[in-house]
Amino acid sequence: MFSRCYHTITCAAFPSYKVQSRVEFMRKPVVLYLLVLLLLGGTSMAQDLTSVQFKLKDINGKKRSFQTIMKKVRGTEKTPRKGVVVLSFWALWCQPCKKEMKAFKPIFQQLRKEGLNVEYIAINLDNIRSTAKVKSYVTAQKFPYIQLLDPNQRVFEKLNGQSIPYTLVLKESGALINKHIGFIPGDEKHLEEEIRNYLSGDS
Amino acid sequence: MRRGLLLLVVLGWTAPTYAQINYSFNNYLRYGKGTKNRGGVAYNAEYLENMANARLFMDKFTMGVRFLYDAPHEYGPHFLGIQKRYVEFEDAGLQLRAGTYWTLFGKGLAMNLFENRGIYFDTGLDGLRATYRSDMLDVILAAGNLAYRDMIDTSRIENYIVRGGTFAVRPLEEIEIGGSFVDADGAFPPASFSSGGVGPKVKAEIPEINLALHAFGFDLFASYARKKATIQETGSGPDYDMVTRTSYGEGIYGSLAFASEDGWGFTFEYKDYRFDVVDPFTRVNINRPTRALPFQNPPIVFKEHAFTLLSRDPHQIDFSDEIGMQIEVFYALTSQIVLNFNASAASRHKSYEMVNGNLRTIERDNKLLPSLSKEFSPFYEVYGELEWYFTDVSFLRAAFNRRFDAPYEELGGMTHEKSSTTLPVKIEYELGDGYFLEGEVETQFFHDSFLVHTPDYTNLFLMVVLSRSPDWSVALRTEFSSIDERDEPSGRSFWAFGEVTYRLTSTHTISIGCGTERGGVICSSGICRQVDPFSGVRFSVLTQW
Repeated sequence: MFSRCYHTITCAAFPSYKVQSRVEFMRKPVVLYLLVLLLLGGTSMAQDLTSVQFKLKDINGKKRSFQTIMKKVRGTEKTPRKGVVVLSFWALWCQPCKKEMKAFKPIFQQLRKEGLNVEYIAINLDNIRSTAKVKSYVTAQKFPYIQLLDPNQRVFEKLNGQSIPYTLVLKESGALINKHIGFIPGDEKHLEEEIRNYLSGDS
Repeated sequence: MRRGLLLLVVLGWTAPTYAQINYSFNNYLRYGKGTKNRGGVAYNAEYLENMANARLFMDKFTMGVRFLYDAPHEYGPHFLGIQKRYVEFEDAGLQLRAGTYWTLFGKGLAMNLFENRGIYFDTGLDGLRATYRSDMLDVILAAGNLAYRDMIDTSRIENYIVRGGTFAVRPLEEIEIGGSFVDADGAFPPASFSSGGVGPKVKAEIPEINLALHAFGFDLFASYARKKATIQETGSGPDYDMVTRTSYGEGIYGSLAFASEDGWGFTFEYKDYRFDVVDPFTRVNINRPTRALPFQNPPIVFKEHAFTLLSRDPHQIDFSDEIGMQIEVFYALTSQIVLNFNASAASRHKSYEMVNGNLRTIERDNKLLPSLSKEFSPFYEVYGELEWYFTDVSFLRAAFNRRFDAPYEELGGMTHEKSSTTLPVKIEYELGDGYFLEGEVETQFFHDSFLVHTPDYTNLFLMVVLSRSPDWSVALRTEFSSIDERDEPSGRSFWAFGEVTYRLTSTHTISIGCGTERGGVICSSGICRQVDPFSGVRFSVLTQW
């Protein structure tokens, strides 16, 4: 029963089979459908996290809601605030990810010291092989960030993650300022510049 | 015709939402050309892979599709077309998905589905998934088809129909109680020596229970799973009659973690995987239907390393028959210095020997701990690391590793002993004006008892990287080895690979590299692949919108 329902829903819209040539491939209904959608909806190009909702456990086992964190950053309707949220995906096996978190730590602490409304959400992608060690590592490093766990990469996939480190810089509304893939030492300074430019109104 | 009509209906129905459509797109292109080496025989190698992921977001609906062009392939068969696709609805904690997905039940003793394209491993299901998450309750129901492609013989495919569910309830913040059940019907391809050309069928039922406690800074997790596998296969008679047999197995995983606000933390993990403890005659068939099945992937309970020489040729876990433990400690000596210590050990549950033509079982002295006696294929590893940030961004990392891995062949009384002592050092230094210099030296003293000419040899790995944020980096990796070239698959004792990476924008990166790579066994999450030595050019482009 389920296979029949599933087949009707998915296979009719998204046939999945190998094709013999690229020409034949391009004729497939799904390709046409996607192209039409892109043409008609082409104005909506930036990924907007305004309405994205997800809940993940933090390293203490407590569930945290992304929208609740965002609400805290943007303040209330009576006292709205301008702010920036940095959302960064990392893993224990990813050396550039750990370098990025470590390099940004003094900058983050300085921004907070200046009273700027900045939050950093680090989302760990380690599979169940390493999640037990994440808390231990994070605590020893004394990272001042919100640490969430996404062992099934559910949120990573939802936010178009392809490789890590993958960092999204968001306005308090959830709209995207910029996103980064990879980390070259020194990138943390450019990240700081993006944050300061937005908060000072230059961007 | 029906398909076209359905699409028109969908187009018309979604018309009001066109202006609210968001999309995301990423593309990864890889190309390589050169020669590889397998078993001392060189062969031409060329691969081209382009993977494009597109997602459309419309209110509560998401549609995703992956277009894959993989021809010529690096691993596995050619592919050209839509490899993955799904539609998803999400609202108020409920998520419904039809199409391709991966999922995790508990810690993976019953089910852990994931994809790792680096080693061409994929256990994604094609079917339906319903997820409900609230503050107190998580429930996942999943069903679908899994076509598992063998890691060694990629023409060999095992087909499964998998159905299962998992739940986790949190009556208090400190307690989480969970359970899973997986039911799978598998069809194996016939082995070349099977009579009748009919492969075995397996029906597996895997219930699992788990408990998590969080209190006073401690996190305790314990999980138990039991596997019942009913196998139907061709008997040894002349009429190819089907015979049925039942196999039982179980697995235990536990962890205890603690993190102190003073800057130190430890994690202790324990595993006892006995999903299929069998004698060496049966164990020879690594594709036997009674083994831990491809969708079961629990924690490996030993360290996965980042240093190059340590990540090559690691311990290869046997999820069907392994007992072991691991402890890892992180300690912040100061705000600039962090120490890391890791120790792990593992072995088989039993050993066997032939006595007067009969197979005799040898048991471990202690049933709860792994054995370091050679008959039980012992593995142990000790690792220590110091990381010192002498400025906010410049650091030195120095480590020590001692590893011993000795799979034992009971029937021949031979041990393949591999042991190594490795001393890696890495330094990264800010030169100023966005320039960084990184240097890495790894020295390894290796012993491999199966090598004829040089059972003891030394490896030396050197890497230098110069980078300028945010635009480019240039890396040169070299490796020397004192191994006799007759013992080395590639027939070389020196390798060098240079790579340039340039960022067009923050989300568009190009890399090009040229040289020779040594290859070896690369593992991730306990899944291993033999990577052949390579000599040639590699090119990649990563783009995202």
